[in-house]
Amino acid sequence: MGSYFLDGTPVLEIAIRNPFLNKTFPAEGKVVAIIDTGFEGFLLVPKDVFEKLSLDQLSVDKRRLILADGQYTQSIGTYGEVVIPNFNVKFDGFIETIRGVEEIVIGTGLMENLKLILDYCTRRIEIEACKKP
Amino acid sequence: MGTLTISLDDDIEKRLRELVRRMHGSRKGGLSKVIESALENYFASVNRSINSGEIFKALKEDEVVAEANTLDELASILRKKRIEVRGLRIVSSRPIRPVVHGGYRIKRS
Repeated sequence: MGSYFLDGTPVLEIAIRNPFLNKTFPAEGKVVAIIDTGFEGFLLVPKDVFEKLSLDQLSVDKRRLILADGQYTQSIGTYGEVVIPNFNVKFDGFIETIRGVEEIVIGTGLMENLKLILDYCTRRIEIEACKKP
Repeated sequence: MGTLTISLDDDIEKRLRELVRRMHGSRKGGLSKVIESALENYFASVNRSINSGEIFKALKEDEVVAEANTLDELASILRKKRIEVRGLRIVSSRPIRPVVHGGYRIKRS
């Protein structure tokens, strides 16, 4: 399976890695991540996930996220890997967190590596990695 | 200057000709200009997406201590050099944008 609609929201099962400190979340198996085309980052995770990956032990960068109401909030983040086990691919990118976020959110920064077809008619999602020329 | 013969869906062709008319009127070469511009945008978009040539660097107090094309390679180099990774700053040749849209899932805490 790997990707499906959860109450109408497209989700993808992933694992997240900090290759520098050899930490993986979840420690076994996969976790559900929401696909959000409105998020321009790579991956957003709750603070506890960020800490379980020991990403907070690397030096973090800060940036601002524009919220849906036009307000700003500050995120912190550093680089890590997203593994998509069902498709046997992984991508490197900026993994960030903000206070109060409770979901793992995949943004367009990660999606730009994927061909993604959301078929609401048949409730199916097709995903494959971009082919390199 | 190359010449291509291509087939387009009727609706796409109609929309393309309308766009050319709007942008260039009846001037000669308008169709080629629009196609060239569209392809330039498409190439740029595809090139961004294939993540080509991205380089990651590990910095210790602003000094580059290792660099590689993937994070796995970078981690491996750091292990071989026995460099303590805690506190290292990882940067990419494609720097993060300082401000981005957060999407609709995020609620203000």
